[in-house]
Amino acid sequence: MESELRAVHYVNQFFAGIGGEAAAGTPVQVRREPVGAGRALAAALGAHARIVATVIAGDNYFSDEREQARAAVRDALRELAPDVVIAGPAFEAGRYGIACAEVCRIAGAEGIPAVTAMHPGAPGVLMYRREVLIVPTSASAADMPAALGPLARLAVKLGRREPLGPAEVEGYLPRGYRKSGERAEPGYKRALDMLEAKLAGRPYASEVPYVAPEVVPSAPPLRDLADAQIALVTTGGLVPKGNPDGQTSGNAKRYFRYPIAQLETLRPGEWEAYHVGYFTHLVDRNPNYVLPLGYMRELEKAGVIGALHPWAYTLPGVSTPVAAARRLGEDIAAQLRDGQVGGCLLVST
Amino acid sequence: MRLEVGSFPVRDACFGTRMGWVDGVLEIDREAVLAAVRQDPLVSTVELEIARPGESVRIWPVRDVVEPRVKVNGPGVVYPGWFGRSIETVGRGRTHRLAGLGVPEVSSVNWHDAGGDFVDQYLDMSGPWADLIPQSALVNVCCVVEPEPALAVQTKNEVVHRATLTVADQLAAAVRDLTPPDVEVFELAPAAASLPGVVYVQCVHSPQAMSHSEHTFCTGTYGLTRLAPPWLLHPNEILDGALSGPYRTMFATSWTVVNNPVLLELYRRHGRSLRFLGVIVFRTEWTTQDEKDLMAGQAGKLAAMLGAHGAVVTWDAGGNEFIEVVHTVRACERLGIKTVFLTSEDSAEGGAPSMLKPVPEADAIVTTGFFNASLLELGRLPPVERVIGYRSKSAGDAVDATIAAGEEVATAGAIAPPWRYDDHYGFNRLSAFAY
Amino acid sequence: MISAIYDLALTTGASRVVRGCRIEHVCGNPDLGPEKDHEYGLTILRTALGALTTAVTGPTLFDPMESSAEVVHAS
Repeated sequence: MESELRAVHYVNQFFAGIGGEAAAGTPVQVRREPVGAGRALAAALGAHARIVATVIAGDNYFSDEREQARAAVRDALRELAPDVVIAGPAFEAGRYGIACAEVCRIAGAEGIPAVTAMHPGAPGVLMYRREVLIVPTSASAADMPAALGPLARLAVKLGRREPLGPAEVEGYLPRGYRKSGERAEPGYKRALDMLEAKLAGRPYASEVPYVAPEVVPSAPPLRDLADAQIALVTTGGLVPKGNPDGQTSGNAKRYFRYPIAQLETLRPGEWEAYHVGYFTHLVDRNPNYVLPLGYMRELEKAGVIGALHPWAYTLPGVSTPVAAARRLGEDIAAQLRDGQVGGCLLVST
Repeated sequence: MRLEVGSFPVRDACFGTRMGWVDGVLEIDREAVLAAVRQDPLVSTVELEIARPGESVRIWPVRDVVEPRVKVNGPGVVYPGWFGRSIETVGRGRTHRLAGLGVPEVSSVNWHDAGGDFVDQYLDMSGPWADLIPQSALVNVCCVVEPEPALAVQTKNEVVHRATLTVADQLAAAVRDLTPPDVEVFELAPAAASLPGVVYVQCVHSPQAMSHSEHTFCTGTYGLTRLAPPWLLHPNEILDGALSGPYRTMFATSWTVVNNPVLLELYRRHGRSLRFLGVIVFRTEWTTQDEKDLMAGQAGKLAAMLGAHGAVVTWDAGGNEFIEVVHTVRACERLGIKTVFLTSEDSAEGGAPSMLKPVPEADAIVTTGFFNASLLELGRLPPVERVIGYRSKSAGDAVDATIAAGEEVATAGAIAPPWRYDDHYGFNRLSAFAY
Repeated sequence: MISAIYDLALTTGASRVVRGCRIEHVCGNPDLGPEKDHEYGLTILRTALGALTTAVTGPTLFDPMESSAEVVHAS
């Protein structure tokens, strides 16, 4: 029989039974027992865990006195040293949800596993879903009994330091990571079963949920092109002939930059494309197809642009994980900004 | 189109004085088979070697694995269209097969010399890589063949693959006139109209863009590897090898295509829970947006004309090919055809999306996990006692920057797995989960 | 961003996307012969520079074929 875990529960003024909005300024307090909604949570935890303390804070206090509230929660957790911290459920509450997530984050920083619960549409999810374990609930606090079961179960698992399974198995909101694992049936069968469910109008769960692409705010337009410094970047894997710096032909882990101030154009025989994602011979014959230096020089001479930036940036884009591409892009952008570049042309193959 | 497929299970093979199949053991007249291959004067060397499941054997490199099949009656030949083989439409009559046997194509010949593509797949007959690859469970009669060195690379590919097909033909001939222990009938019999019509869209890579040639060897439709508008095939044609030839991974070989569990399961469910309407073979790697979108739109239209209510889409994975594949999923959905997409995933490191292009219409995805084998945490694969094929390889640096170009490694040693594990047709249960 | 397969760029957040010719020769077309190839390349580049000076509210495609006064026909 495993020993009983020590849990700390976080609730706001309402779920502590102190009061409604009027009590939202309640400073952080600690009571050495389950409080308010915590009593139902204690029942859900059963013999597996005991709520040794409840940390309470008013939603406004937590939001307005951010530093003090955080420090108080952190100090309380350090003193209590629980096996697990459980915050909420917050359902669709905005401030409370954020506070719950923040409490979990603080616990995590102290090495204490933590979990909270709230509606997937709550602001706390948007802000914290990558860092904090969140059990999805409905929007209504009337569903408290239904929410507590999965929350308690996960809390016990975390408290026991058991390895955490996939989101769909353990019942938490996916945090954006993916890992290998085996499913019960082979892929071909799952595909046909999923199709039949979809055709029959039965529920099914896509194994890779749709992730909306990042919205990138557009840079404001260049006001004076004739005055601007323009840089050239390519993911076409263009390198000096012979690839002296050993650029890989894909899976870029670094980018390269080459001085082009003295060049009027890129000549075949002096440059080549080293890239496993496309037929490179045409670029070998005319490297300007992916790094349009020749054209840009002409336009520079004609006064269309102020100047061509003296460094050209290249890398082999193919098979480069998105995370790496992000880092490389940020680095290149920082360099261009330091070089007072006004605009950049990125040629992709 | 009615096709009877007679299966002769093979649990072992040995070299002997005659060709014969008795009680699951295939006796092979090695000299006769080699003589048949050597009828091609462009073959320089050829050998046959047997690798059995469970042995400490590595077959390096493996370009393709072919299941020996033979037409007993009905028009055409199996694996039609390649290098002068009959182009007659197949899929009718009776075909016999050696079930549980494969002919790996082992040669140093690369696909083409335009750069970018290289042969880096191999088979282990035991160990962690074997556990993942279906062909490791086969009795593998390897065709180790080299063409005349002075030939152009396209001709070399032809010589090598023709040799493999010759070996497969020779082995299958042993059971042509025997009575199979098991016969399965493949026929898309009329089925209740109330059952949903389902089309299988099988997307396959064409090497035309990468190699700048229509004739480069790869997966072919009646021996044609070029970019072409979508083909409509009866599944029986595929069972007779009308879609065959390799593309880069162990899951895209002639063997996996004739043993495609998606196709076989669709057949099994035909008349019970669905009506299997046919296979749209969609060639990929078009190089402009318009071409990609044109083909995707046409594939969707073709599915709709066939009366599809639903579609399963697979592909043999790559890079920008993903775009026309996922646009095909979208085109089907926009025509009201409910679609499931069976695919592998890119690295999700750093919380990045694991699909190249997010498409809201692709809302029913089955994943066979990460295609990058280094994410499977296999480490180095264990050394083996025996290698069939080449004893050393120069480590490709293409997408693995950890190995310096030109470095030689012993293939019998502890080597990295091939960089791609890509279960295109969902043979295995390996998948990926959100955490 | 200049790309022949511009759709991916638009969907993944690039604000100014210029349609290139083909993956293997993004900023030109060797089939046009050297003179027309050069003209075409310049047209693409001019379109790209024009895009830099254009205000956009989200991912926007700039097509060199539409924005050029001299239409360059691929053979």
